Amino acid sequence: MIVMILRMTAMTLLYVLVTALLGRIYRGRRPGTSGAVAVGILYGLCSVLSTHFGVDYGSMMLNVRDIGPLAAGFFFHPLSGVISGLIGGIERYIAGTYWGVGSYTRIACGLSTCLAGFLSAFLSMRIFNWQKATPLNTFFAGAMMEIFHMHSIMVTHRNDIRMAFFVVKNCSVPMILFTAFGLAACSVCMQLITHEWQNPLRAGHREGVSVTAKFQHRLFAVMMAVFALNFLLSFLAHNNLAIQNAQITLSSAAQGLSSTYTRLRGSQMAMNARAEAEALTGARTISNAVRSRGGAANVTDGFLEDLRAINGMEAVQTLSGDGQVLFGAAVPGAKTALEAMDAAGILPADGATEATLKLSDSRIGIVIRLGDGLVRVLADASRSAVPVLQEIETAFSVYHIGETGTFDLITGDGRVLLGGHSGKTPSGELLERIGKKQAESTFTGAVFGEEALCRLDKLQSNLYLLTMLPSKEVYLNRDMLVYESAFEDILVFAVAYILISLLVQKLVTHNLTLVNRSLARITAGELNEAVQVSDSREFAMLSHHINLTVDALKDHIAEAQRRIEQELELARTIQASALPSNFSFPRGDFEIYALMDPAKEVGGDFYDFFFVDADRLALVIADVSGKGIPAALFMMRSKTAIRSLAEAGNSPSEIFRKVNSELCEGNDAEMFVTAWIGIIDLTSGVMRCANAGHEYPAILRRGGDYELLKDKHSLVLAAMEDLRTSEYEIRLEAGDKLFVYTDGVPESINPEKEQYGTDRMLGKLNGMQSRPMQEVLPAIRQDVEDFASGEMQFDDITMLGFAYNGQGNADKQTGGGDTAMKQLTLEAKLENIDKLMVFVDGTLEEMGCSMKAQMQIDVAVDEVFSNIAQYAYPQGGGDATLSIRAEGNQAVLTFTDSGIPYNPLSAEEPDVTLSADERPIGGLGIFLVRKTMDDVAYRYEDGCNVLTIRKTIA
Amino acid sequence: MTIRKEINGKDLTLAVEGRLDTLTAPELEAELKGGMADAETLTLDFSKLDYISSAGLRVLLAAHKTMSRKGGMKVMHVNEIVQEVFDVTGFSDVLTIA
Repeated sequence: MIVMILRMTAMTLLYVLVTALLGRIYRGRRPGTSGAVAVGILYGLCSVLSTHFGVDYGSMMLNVRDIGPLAAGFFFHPLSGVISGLIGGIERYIAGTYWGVGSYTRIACGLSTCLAGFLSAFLSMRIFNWQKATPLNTFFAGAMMEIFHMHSIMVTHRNDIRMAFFVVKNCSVPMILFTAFGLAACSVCMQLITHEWQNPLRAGHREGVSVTAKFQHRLFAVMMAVFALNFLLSFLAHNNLAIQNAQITLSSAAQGLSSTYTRLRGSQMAMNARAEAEALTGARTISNAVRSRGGAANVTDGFLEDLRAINGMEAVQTLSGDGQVLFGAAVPGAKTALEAMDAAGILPADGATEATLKLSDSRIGIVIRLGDGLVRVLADASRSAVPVLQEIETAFSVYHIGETGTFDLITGDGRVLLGGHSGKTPSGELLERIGKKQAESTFTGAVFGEEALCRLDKLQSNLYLLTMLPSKEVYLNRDMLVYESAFEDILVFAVAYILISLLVQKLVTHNLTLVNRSLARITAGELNEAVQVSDSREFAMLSHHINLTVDALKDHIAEAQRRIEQELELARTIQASALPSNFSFPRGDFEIYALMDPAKEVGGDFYDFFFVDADRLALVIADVSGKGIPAALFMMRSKTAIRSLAEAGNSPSEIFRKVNSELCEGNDAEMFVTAWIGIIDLTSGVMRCANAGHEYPAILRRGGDYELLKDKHSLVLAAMEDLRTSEYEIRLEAGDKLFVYTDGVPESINPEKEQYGTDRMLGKLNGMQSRPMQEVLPAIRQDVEDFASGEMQFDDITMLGFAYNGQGNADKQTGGGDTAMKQLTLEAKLENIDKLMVFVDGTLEEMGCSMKAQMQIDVAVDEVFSNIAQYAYPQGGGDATLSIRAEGNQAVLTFTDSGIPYNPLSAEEPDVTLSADERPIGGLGIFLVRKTMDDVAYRYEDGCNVLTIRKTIA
Repeated sequence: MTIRKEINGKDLTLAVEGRLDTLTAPELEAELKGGMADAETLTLDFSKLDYISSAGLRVLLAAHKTMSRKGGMKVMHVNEIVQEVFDVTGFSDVLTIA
């Protein structure tokens, strides 16, 4: 046993070693076709070795041939599995047929080894999905293969099932275990090599377990339970059946034997009686012959000898009346019997003529009274009675109990009279049972050393019949049936398990994978991906619902996109309206123009210009880091702060210092602003400037060219507290010009990723030195756009141009009393009413206008602006400017357009008393304005129509 | 501006919400042109109308003229601002305001 285990372990280790070597060579990679063939041949040779170095165990040859093809297929390549299976299987058949190596099982062994190759290929491809099989899987696959192997031995030897069963019973456990454990060890080895080994004692993560694996585990558990239950029930049934059958066999044998015994004993007794009667008749014949010869005293020994011989007696004697022997004849052996008769001293009782004495050893003595004496005869009654035991033995010998059952006749003190165990001593257990008078009992015990089902019957006092059927025979059928049905169950379950696993994989897991793949694409932003798994109702519904969800999502996204676009458009309008757009000042000492072109809908750049006092004009340009709404909001904050500080009379450096600390407060978004400010005294041309990290201004001195003014920078605003700012002064002469801009201008790129640069900018500026700023700025913008040649604008582009014309051209500044004036210039077309309304409503709300007044003003703005839009510019393309300011509790709205001169107030008032049919359609607008507004005034000045409306707003 | 349309047999009801001004008046005009052909009576529900401009008045007058040849036109739930416009322009005397 131990030798067998050691040798089998050695054979198995050979496989593990080969697997480890190959595993190191391939290191988790799958061999190519030629590699697969080589691996297959190597494992095939291992199988052949395993066949020829089988381990002798209980006259069987054990081997682990099937590990070869299984390992090859599971760990390397399906092709390897098939090749090694064919090599091992065919060689096994040849060896069995021609070299007499295990020829009894050659068909079953050869077949199952071939099949092992195909099985490993199939499992590897379809069940393990080309993954390396895990130790648990390989363990069961190996066990399954060997079970099939064993079962096929039984199937191929139906005519000789006992021998086949004997082989299977001896081989199955070691071969199944060694193959299973060998494969598991190979698998562990492979996993260690590729570092995939996980200690199964450390529970894996639940998420990592696939549905198929979970399903397989549960299915396996259920099947094992069913199998165990089935096995148990069938074992119990077969067990009971076997015991019952054995009991029936024993009891029928015992009954037959008992009745035979009884019959024999009866006839024995009858024969004894007949022998006695014959002896008596003989004795009477002899006594008559003696009497007729003249009496006891008148015969001779010879006469008596004749009588004895004729009548077949052992001895004949005549005796005198007092018992003395007169004459006699006897066979030599009769002496003792005669002496016994003498000792007994029998005589016929008075009046009786005969007396009979039964002697032991079946002799009868008879005494007959004659007139003068006695005749004594010794007869051998056993002469006609055959010895009893011998007869019984002969009669019993025709009985068979099963194939190997025995029977014995046993005396009360445990002597075996006859039977299969005569001469042997039964166990004490039997004597105990006899002592307890437990006759007719069935029990299992080892009466003569061998375990057997026994039955004890009492034949007569002190004589027992023991019938036995060895346990081996009792349970042979049960074991055969149970083995075979267990093998079949396991194989059927294995096939069912594989099929169900496959089905789950095909019907569920595969579909889930498809759905997940689509979902992953959708998650990655591919919203046009549609899930199309429709091979079952549930999955079709799932796909459908996912698609519906995605569609709904798409709609929502599109909706949100639209809303954002609308809001951005609005924000742009608001932002645009926040920047001054009236560049015409009623004084000639300067010229100013600016433009901003945001990269996205709203930008972070801004420019600003405003009068600090009657003669000092502030110019601002700035760039907020970032783009979009956050930048725009920060820009609004910055712009408001700069303007209010400038209007409070601060110097540029003070402005920047204070703006910086204001912006630093609560600057959670970590934004910053680069800014340049210049405050020019228009009377002297002295401009005090400060630059917080902004681009160098371009300055044009009269008679020279535009060049960059490398001014002194401070750090950008809002970056850190306590900014150290500085300012500088430039003195502008009449004709000098200043151009400030944001980095969007020089940093614009073309498709070659070249920057526009300040050189190009200066060149373009110098090219149009004498042109008004109103032309220069759009030209630069155009130049930048041409340079970019379609490349997307990634930054806001903002410019501000200033030309100083000198004190000689100064004029009086107008409109000093207006407070908080806002203005918006738009192209005069109906489509712009919306933008205008946003501006109007926003401004009025700021002023605290009542809802009713606001509605009425809206109507008035609508009427006036649509008039301008429809009639002021017959050729189209003109602008209209609306400025709004508060004056006391009134809002003052001024419309300015440079279209054809027209005084709307001069129009005739419509007749509002006319009936509907008489009324003309139209002509009501300006009438409505006059009726709902407090005051409407018109003037034509500087080539512009100026319409001023006043309305009490609170 | 949004227009909600309700047809009950030959009765057409339009509920106008928001602002009826130069830009939106053409929308109402188009809506009326489409609807009036089949309608006997027209009801305009102005409960959610913020204001009306002369362009809107023009559309109302045209509609009124068309419907007066059929079953008539009625304007309902007029707010203060719109009522004032109707008063100022004499439309209160022309239109049927309920």
